[in-house]
Amino acid sequence: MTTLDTRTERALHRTPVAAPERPVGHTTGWWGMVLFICTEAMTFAAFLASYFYLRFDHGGPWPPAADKPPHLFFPSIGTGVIVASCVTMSMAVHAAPKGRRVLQWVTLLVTMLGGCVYVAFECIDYTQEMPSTLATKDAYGSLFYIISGLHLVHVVLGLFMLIGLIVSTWLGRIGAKRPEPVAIVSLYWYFLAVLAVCIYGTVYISPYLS
Amino acid sequence: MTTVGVIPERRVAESAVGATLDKVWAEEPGLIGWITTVNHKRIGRRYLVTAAFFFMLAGIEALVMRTQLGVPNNTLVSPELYDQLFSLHGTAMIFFFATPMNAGFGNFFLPLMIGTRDMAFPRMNAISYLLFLFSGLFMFSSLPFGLAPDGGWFAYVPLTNNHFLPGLNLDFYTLGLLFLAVSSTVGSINFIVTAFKMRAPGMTLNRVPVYVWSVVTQSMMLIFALPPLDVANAMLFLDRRFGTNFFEVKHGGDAILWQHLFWIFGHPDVYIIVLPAMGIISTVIPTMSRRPITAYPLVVLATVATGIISFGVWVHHMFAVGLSQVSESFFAAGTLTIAIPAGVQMFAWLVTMWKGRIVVTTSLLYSVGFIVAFVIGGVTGVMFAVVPFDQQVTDSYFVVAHFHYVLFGGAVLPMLAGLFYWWPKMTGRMTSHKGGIISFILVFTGMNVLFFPMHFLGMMGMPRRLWTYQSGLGWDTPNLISTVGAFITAAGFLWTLFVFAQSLLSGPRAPDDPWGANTLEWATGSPPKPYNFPVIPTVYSLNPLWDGKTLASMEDHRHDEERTMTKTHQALRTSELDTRLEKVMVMPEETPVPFITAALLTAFFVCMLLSAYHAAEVSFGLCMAAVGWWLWRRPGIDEAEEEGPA
Repeated sequence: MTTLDTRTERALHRTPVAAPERPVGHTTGWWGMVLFICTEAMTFAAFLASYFYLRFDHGGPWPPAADKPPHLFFPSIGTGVIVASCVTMSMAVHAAPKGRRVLQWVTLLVTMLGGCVYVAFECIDYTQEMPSTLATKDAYGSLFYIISGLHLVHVVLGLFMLIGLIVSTWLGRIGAKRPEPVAIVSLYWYFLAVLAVCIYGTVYISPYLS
Repeated sequence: MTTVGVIPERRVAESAVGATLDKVWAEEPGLIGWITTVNHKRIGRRYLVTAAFFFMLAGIEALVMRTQLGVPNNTLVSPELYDQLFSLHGTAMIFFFATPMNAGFGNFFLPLMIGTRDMAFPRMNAISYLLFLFSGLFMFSSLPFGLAPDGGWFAYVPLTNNHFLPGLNLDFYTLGLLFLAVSSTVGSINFIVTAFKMRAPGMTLNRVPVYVWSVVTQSMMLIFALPPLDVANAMLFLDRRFGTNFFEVKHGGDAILWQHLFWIFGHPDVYIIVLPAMGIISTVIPTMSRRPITAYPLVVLATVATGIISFGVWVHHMFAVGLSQVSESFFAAGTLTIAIPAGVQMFAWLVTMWKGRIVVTTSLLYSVGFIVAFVIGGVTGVMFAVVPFDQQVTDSYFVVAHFHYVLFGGAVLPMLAGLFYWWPKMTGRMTSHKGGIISFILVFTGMNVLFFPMHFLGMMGMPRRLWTYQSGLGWDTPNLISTVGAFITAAGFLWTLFVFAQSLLSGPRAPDDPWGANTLEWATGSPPKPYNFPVIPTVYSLNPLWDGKTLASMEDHRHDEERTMTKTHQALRTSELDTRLEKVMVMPEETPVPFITAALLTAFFVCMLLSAYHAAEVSFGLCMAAVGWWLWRRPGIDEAEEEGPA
């Protein structure tokens, strides 16, 4: 009766009970991507902070008198498209573990096309801005091109990730057995979309607010 | 192999599965093995040796500077060379010695302390070392050409824009630091994921060693602090090379922007260097006081709090700039606040020693030396938080004295403590006790003779970065004393090197656990086998080697395939908070891809430096292709996953 309360041999060597619920943790790859996004987010935060620092430091009208405010047509559509592409990305994430390979393949392809539209529209916009705004002309131009350009480079990186997924899906390397890569890339894609909105708000919209 | 003092539980575990694991984890010998290895212990050792090599180079620069300043009106080196010497000395000590040295300790001991077989991303670990090595060589290669950075280690614009400092000097600086940042970022992510996902079963959050906490905090800080530095360096490079206008006041840029961006990185960086060093102290002191660390939760909280608060103090580097009084007051308060968590740790160590029974070893002596030096540096640090005082002594030798007490006292001494403490584990040899004590006496005396007179020099108005000075200003004697101290310190390091060399050649064999320590790394062999633990133990307390049950679990589980993992390179993945077993992960094996990728990235940076932009584009493209190949082909993993249903 009393021995049950002491630390018996049995208590010391009790085998662990199997966890009744599913483990809630994430994979190492998921954490790697989350931390990569953290450091990327900080990079863009530093750039955007620099934008507003230089803008308010400048004092006068923004953009400065020599520059015209940016065109809105193409970047607005581009940003809308990349945000909308998150929907198909999310569909791919849900299709992967269910083994719906065709749906996964098609949604990834559509997501990638959305990204391509964004890149193309940004490039068209640059040709429209070029005559009046130059990176070497003043700080406004430097900020405009370097910030939006850096984001564009990141979208291209995201596109390469998507191409990897699409080829892998085609070959059957990812799917029901191994769905994580889709979820991991989707994190990056959502991040790019959020970033697109932040950059749209900063370099395209904010010059109109004074 | 040595059989001195093997822990009995490990002997039993090794006899059950050791032979199989030896075959599975066998490594390629020779040059190919050197290039392709992903073994965290070999990579850790390389980090330590390479960082020590850069420490020696930067130390020689310091010795030349001290010789130049030893007597008034000296012309040993030209002013131009002196500029390069102090800039490269600072840059190298901060970026290429202190941070990588910590990464070396972390690489070697973090996986051992948490009871796993490798880092979470072994190939990323390999590339992070290679990038560090290549970027360090990149940076130091500037000196023989007379092109070393010459704008001080914080490279303020407008001095560093291309009107005032044309030439490649500052391009070496901006590109070299961007290059290194890749390595540090990759390494930090690896540390955090390893500590989150690979702790041995039972090592819940309240049982994680303080050292692991400090490495994770440091890595988190790096992830958030490096980007502003990268952004600043990228802007400066673009300004210098491509005519952008981020810092060009004439065209709407701003010079103070550089200072903000630099110090948003720069002040956390002090703690990025010091926190893991403090973690070493929190490891050495409990062992050498024969008792668990006092107030473990408070020490952990203080570590994390330091990491967070350190992001809110950067403007104290800019009190002389002329910012608004509100911001100066805010950051003065922030700077004073950070003394609190530092004080908590300080008292925890003191109480641990007070309540324990002290064993005087070299590592303990260095730890005590650290406490003394860090308190001195901390007190002057608190003085700098007071704005009017700061404005009086800013950019004087008082600052030089302060940050050398903080960085030499707060990082180099703990690293020496760590080296003497972990040397038997890393090499399998003991160091000479007497030799170690002499090393401590020489280095500690030397550093105080070297840095203490600088406080007075600063008070007497000697500005930092001075090339030479006239006699009769009252600076002659303190400068001479300081120079003598520099040579004593150098002699101390030479002696320390001799102690380690002597140990390697003829030191007695080290047992598994020579100090009777409390953390898991001492449950492995000295030096550890490539697979670290033959059986992954269950951790029952914060001091696993002292609780009696953790070691026994290695014996109990020796026939459990989940704990021995004898098929391929495998490691356990456990849940983040309560370390419940999630999965047996297959880990990558040796591969040359990290080396190829690192070489291509090096080619990219060299081409950028030499303005060969088309070649740079090609090498960058190839580098990205290598990364693609890396992600596509994962040696050891795909084969294993195809075998059975997931």
